[in-house]
Amino acid sequence: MRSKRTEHRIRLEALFIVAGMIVEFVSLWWVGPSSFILFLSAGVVLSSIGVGMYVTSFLLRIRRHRSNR
Amino acid sequence: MMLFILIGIIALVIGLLVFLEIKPIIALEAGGKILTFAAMFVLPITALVLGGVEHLERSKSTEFCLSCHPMENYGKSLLVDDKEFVPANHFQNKRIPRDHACFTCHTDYTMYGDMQAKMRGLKHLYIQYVGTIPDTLKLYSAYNNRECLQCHADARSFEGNRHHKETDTTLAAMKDNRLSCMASGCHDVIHNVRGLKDVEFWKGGVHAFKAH
Repeated sequence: MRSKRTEHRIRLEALFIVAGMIVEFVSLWWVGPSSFILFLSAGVVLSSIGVGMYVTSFLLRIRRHRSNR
Repeated sequence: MMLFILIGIIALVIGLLVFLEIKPIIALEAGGKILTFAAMFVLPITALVLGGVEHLERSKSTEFCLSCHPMENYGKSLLVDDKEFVPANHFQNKRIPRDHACFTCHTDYTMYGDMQAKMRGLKHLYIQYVGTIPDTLKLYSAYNNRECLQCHADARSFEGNRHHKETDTTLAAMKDNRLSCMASGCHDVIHNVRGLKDVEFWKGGVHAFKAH
């Protein structure tokens, strides 16, 4: 049950990061303030959500592992 | 070069994460945990940092500045066929790098200035996309001689110029920014965008923006 939930969480985190990376890639196609805004407002935000979720679950897992010892 | 590395990292992250989307069970296996850590943390953070550096670097480019509609005439003014036009003279004779022409002489603008300048940069973005662009654009503060002196200070042509040595204090006043280089009667023809209708343009100039 836990591994199913973990798989679902990993998929969601990966989805956010992939979306952020795609936006970052698109923002590199032209030079102008709009590309910079796109990078900051969507690329960085989406990727940060994914990375943030991953880091949070990573740290929670370590804490849980330590308290189980 | 950095752009290619950045694109490579982005492609690698996307590839690895698509693989994880298909087989998330990998993330739970011993070797897969390291791969997941790299794909979910190390590489995306690297891509974001490099992306930020790349975008900041691009924002110094002439192409970036001239991509805003209100800057169009300022770009045109760089191609005026009259050496009295200070920016045109500098641009055409490669006294400033053509690909960083605006930033070389306006170093304290938007993201590169203080917090107030950054806020003004955000306001410019708002005006560019949502607000109303004013008819006349003005600098927020008087042009600082520092921008000229970063190249001209200590140059023989600057120090030895007879106009600069008109009085004992002229040179010192310019260096202390008490006497503007653009003072009336000196280097006072700048972009002059209102007068662009009546001037000739450098014929080969169109290529100058591309061929830096």
